[in-house]
Amino acid sequence: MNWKKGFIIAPLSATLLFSANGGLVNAASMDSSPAVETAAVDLRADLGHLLSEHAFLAIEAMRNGAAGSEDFEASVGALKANTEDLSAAIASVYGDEAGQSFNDMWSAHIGYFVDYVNATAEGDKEAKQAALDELSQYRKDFSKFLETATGERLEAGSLAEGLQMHVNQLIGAFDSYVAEDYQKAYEHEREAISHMHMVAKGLSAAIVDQFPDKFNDTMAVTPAGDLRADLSYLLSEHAGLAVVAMQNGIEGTPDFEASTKALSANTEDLSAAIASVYGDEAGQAFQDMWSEHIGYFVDYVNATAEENEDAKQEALDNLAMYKENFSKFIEEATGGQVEASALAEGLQMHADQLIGSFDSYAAGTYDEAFSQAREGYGHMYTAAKLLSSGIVAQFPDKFASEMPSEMPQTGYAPADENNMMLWWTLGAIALALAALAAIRKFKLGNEE
Amino acid sequence: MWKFISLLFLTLLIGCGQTQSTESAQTSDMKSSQEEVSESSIEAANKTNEVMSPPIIKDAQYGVVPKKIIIERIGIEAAVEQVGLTKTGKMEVPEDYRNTGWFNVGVKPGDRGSSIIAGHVNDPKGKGVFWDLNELETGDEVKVLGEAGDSLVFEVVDKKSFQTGNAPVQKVFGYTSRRMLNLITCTGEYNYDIGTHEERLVVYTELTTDNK
Repeated sequence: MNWKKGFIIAPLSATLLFSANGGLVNAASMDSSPAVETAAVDLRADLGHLLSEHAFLAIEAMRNGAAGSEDFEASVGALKANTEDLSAAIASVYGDEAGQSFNDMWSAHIGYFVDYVNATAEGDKEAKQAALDELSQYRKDFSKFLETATGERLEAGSLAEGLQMHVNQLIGAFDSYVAEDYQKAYEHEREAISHMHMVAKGLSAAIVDQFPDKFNDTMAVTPAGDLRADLSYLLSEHAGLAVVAMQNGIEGTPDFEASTKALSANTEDLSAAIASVYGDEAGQAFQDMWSEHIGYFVDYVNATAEENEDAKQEALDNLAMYKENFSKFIEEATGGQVEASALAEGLQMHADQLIGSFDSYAAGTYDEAFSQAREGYGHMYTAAKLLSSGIVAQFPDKFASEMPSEMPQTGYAPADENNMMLWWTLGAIALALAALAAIRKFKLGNEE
Repeated sequence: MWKFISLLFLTLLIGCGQTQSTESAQTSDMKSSQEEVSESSIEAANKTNEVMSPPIIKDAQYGVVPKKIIIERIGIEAAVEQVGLTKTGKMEVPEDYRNTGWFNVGVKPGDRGSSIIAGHVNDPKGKGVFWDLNELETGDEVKVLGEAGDSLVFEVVDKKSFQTGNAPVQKVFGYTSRRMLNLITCTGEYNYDIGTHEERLVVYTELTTDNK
């Protein structure tokens, strides 16, 4: 497995390529065993990746803007790079022109957020108001874009409604941060990240519905697809929150504690997801191990702050050891469906990306820090695919399709059939009587 | 003699096939009305210019486990049973032809996605609960009551009939970001060869803005 592929520049192009030559996989998944790697579920994962990353990076950039921190520009750069990827993804489905108009619209909405941040920093109430007014318009613009792109599909309204909620959540996260209610700021952030996966769910379902042939008639929303989406959401959020917590840790920012709490809340959700498949005991074991690896990252941050090279190395050694143990745990849990070696490789990359991003941050090379953070975020989608694929292969029945094979049988033969039944009954009675008469005649004849 | 009987049988069969059929619903080009822009928290925030910590914004949950369905326009007030999948992967139907059945493997009415309530068009004796379903038109209201008596109002946005074998099951039952309640019954002629009606009627309804 090529873990580098976890970071895909134009994911939907990859999806379409995949659908062009992955017919075998998808044909097999149509009605037999459930699968997480279908063209439609891939699309959902790619959109979930980029949309949720947008929410994550936008919140980071807005906070950096408010705090006037040195990595502000780098975080805005990462947000722009995400917009490019998202636009390429849209273009891969709807063509370059649509990709460009998406890019313009999306960039404009980011611009209004920036206006809002600047106005907040300057205490300019009128400018804040103007930015909010522009953002309120955004729903209509987006709705119009979606209507055109989806060929007047009726989902445009509900999808745009979802995007409007995204805008509100970002403002919520930012205002809470400015109001120094950090815990709430991170709760808003988590909600905003989760919400984008719901938008991706709806958007991918609508796209697949529009172009069923492009996606081999597979569906974006299936029990197996849901598992992959859930794990993708929680694992990538873990990577994102871990990056932020580590940055906050070394800077000693006032929101450090709140960011670690958000990371713990993510761990709890992840453990609950594992428990839902493997039971509470396994969920607890997972939580213990997962928390342990977060602890080693914390050790690394502390060692960096203290400039203690030995302690840094110890933390890295612990992470390497943890990777082996955790991979064995998952291999056992999945009955060998997820190979420990493949998972270990993926976990090592996760650790390298987080440590790499943190080291760059600590060294003041912020562009590199955010570029690695983006890779770390995207990498988790490959990990989630590997993990969900193993779980679904282990319990195919649990993730069987919930679609009925055909429309329900909601009618009986018409009432007139009773008349026919009557005829049959009458006919049968007549026959029986005739037979009886014949028998009697025969008997009588015999008696004679 | 047997030839005659089978001939008679055939004649009866053809005769029956024509005597009763639920009319094919016309595929109308009804369109859902776009929901009005609801007041966003941004607009609410506009009213106060103070920086504050706003409440957490979550997608609203409206889903109810349906107990009763009321469609005044065609005089339906019926209980909703829960139905799932049979062992062979088909959708179960309500045992009582006077009741409707909510497909409990799928989403609840009010949640995002396609919730399904099916009902019989007829029964061996006559009319079933959804006999008049094809008379529904765009804008007609469908009310669903939950366990606690909480009610949701849906509005008819479209209606289509499909050949039974070719019905787009994935589209009818599949996920959408809209909060849909799709009502299903049989329509078309009864086909004795395949042992079912030739078509299925789907009335698409969407949660009204008032509920949101």
